[in-house]
Amino acid sequence: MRFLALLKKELREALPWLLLAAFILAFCSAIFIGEYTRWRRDFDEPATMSPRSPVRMDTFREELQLRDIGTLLLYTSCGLGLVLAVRQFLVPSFLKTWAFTIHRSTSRTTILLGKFTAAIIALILSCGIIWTLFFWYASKPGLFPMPLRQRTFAEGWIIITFGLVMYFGTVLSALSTARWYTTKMFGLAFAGCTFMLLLLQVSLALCLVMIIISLVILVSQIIHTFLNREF
Amino acid sequence: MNLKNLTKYISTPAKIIMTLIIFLIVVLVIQGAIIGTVGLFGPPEKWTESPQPELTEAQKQRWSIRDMRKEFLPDGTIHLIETIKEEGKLRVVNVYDANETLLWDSKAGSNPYHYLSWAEAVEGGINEARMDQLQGITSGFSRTLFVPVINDERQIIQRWRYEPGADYFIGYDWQGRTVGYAGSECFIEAKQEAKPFGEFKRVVDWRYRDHNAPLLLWQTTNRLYQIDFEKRDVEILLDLQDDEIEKIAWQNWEVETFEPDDRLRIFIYVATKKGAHVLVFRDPIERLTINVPRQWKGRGVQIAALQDKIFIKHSGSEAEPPPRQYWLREAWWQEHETKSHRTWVELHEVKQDGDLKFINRFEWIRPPLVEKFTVSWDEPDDLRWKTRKYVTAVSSPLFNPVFRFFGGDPWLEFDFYSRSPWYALTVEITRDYRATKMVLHCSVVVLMICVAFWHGWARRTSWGRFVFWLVFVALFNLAGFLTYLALNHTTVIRCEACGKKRGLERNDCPACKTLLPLPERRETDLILVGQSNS
Amino acid sequence: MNDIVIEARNLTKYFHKTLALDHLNLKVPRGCIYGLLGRNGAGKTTAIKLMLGLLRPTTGTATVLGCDCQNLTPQIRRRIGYVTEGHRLYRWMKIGELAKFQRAFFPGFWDDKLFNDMLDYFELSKKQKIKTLSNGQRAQVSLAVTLSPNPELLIMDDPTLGLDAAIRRQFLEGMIQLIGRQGRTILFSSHILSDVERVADRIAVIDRGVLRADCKLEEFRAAVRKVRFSFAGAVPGEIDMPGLLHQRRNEKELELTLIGTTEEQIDLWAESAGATYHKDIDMNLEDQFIEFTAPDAEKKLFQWEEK
Repeated sequence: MRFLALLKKELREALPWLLLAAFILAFCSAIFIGEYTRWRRDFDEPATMSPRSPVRMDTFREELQLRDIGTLLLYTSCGLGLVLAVRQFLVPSFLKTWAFTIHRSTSRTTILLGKFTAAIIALILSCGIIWTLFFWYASKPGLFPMPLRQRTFAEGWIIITFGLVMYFGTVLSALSTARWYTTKMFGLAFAGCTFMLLLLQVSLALCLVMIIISLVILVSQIIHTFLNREF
Repeated sequence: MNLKNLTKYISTPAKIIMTLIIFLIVVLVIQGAIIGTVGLFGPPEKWTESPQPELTEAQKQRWSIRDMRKEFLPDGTIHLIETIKEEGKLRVVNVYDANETLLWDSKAGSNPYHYLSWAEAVEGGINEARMDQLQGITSGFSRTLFVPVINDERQIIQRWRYEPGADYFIGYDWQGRTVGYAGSECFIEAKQEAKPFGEFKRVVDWRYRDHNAPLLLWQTTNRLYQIDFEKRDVEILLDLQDDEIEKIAWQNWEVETFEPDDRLRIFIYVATKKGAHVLVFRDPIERLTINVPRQWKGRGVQIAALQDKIFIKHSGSEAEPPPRQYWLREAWWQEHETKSHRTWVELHEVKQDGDLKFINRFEWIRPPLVEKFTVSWDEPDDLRWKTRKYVTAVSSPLFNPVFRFFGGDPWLEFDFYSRSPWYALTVEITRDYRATKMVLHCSVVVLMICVAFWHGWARRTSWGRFVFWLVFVALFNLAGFLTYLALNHTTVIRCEACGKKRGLERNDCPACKTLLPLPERRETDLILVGQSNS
Repeated sequence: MNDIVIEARNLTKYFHKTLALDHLNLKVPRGCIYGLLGRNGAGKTTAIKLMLGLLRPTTGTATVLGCDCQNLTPQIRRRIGYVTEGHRLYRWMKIGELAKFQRAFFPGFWDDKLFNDMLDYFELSKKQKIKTLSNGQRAQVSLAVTLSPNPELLIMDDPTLGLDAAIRRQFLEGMIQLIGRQGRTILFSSHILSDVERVADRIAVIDRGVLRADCKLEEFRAAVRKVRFSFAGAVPGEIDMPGLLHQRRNEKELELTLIGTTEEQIDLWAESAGATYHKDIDMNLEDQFIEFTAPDAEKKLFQWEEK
């Protein structure tokens, strides 16, 4: 009951950002699909083939700006993760409500779990569901000349999971009591490093392993910091 | 054990790893920025040119022969082709025979001689590294190959997309319906029967004018395929079973048929890791294994094929090839490059059974490099290089052994990019940022340790931790010291008993073991406890 | 049931190099209204936060309701009501939502009738948002949500800060009503000594992190006194009086602030010093507190030039 009360409170605080992220994703996805409809009419025009190297390396470069959807998904999930972390961990410091929150008849672990659960739910609801709906619609036969790859769907979820890494990185920075020009931003910087390393990956499984390792590094520090931190 | 204590065992190393990674990156970036800024705004790089010594006539002749191209005529006659450039432009081409008699020069009109043309290495296309790059997970999603098939009106009617996970192609018509699968054996309609090609190595593509789809030469670890998307045909050109393809060269395989050179036979030459040399001919497909002598060690081999004859050229030398380990290069250079070596090129004809029949050989003496060039192992004398030497003094001492572990061969810089990005990144970083001025580097490391010692002495809570951090600083130098400082800069105060500094992380002073003093009691204090409320 | 609800032993806290609390030893008995007094920056809030586990002591320990302050269990926290400094609550919540949130942490203990009665008393509606309330109204809501779970121990950090006199009066009356219930204990810190005077049984005075007084209120009131001595001749230079806090003098008069000095000691000294007469000067708790905590040579805030 206590956990549910905490979770409800956190979800209620996250609601405006969750809705904003979902709206941005849904709106832009709709525009992309609509744009493709326009391109489809151009589909029957002669295609130019290079005489020397007609093998194309990019998929859907002309038919659908799927890469833009990916970029949007990345920015939205990272942005949402960042904002949620700030809302949950930095704003209470400014508003000085930590003392009220910590002095609940529940453990600090439960309080932390409530915040984490709310963030994960927010990411899934806003980014995950919109992405899944977009992919389901875009995979309908006859819409695109080649169906979207299953791997693309998995990659979208990897990108959303990276939003979680950004969230935890920001949480760690927010909880740090160091000065901002020293090590306070290291949590966020580490999330950035993880992203750079992800770019070198080919294997989805390895990507997931890297994300999990980053999450373990971040979450273990967050838990330890939160349980021992002074408010 | 409660959660608070349990997480300590994971979070403490996690925090150290995270902080260290970031500081390593920060230090690298700052080093790179300093070197780059000096390179940008400093004076340009200065390469000291060694003065060219005066050569005797005999020496000039040896160098001249060394620099000439050695070409064979189909009858085995060898010609030496000298190319003279003036101001970077080609001026004169002279053709000599083996006795250095001038046979023809470019002023006399067009060259009447038609030399054997050798198969060229298959290049371009998409190799393993590029394929990995395409499949890299980015915000733009991974990409893959797709091959379009057009009709006579030049409209795309089919698309064949390569699925890296499944390792075959899937075909779709223009409405997105699946039309079939192209695997290692054939084009098939049933997914269950599609077989993977094998571990991908390279693909090159070309299109004939009368074709509405490209053809692919698909190379895996031990197979070579030709895939024709218009005819829907997968042909296994070569299957090595348990051997692996090392390199491929081809002659006219992809050339447009309307420009045939009737003299030449179309083929692909494959050299394998186990030392086999195989030719694959087209129209019809035939395979021939060449029995190359063991002493050639598979090096310096080139193939040419006419309609009636097949030739193999071998270039050899007394000199040993340079070692891969860069630290052995100087010794190798002293041993081999300061002496002249007998060098040769020989032509053999390949018989029907693959055996070789010797035709001709040309030998010459390759002069020692010191005859013409002054080679110095000193580093360049310019500001950027000097800056690098000083700036890298703060790098981690581990960079040098890591660089050695990865082979540390700067001559392989074109090779390491073809490997995994991790490998390339590690080699690049350790190569460019490892310390080179060892005395300065060691001094910096010792300085870091001393500062860490001075800082940590008052703050020590246990000997194990204290020693751990000193070793840590020694291993990672500046980045290690910054990490130590970030995680251990706790408050110190003066002990009232002994006057020395002490940290507040422990109850007692590490020097005199005195606890924090009690406050001074005043006569006017009014502490009346022990009386409960009534 | 233990008679001591809160016990601090050598509780010390450094903030970097600043010693905020220096070996605090304190015992709060059950059923007591305990006032924690001190000037700005004395260490009152630090002491309260240490007791509630919101800060980590540099050395020393404290127990609250028998539990180590660094490991307060949820069950113990349920028995403690805490009113934070400034009454910081979730601004986006409505009063009703806040009550619902609070209730979830006190299943079976929440007194809905008490909460509603308090809201009626303070003339507040459940539909009002916290961010629309004034400081005083927010303090009332804070008190209501803290008292409604019927806490055994109430800890309040400067609860009447920023409140007007009428609201403060209501607040204090609520406190007194609560303490009327058996076994309830209140620890509160305050700058408004008239409030402390109205309600506190015992007080503790912290000065620059050090506990300087810990006694019953009436004992403090009786102990700190200011006596004015008049002299026919010169005012004596050296004052040898037990319990001397401060002295002020002019040509003919000497004012001594004393603590714990008996009447006999005063009479004896007056006679020996040649004072013509002496009398006590009335002081309220605020005056006594200021004298008790003032340093020897007090700086004046403003230095006016004599024209």
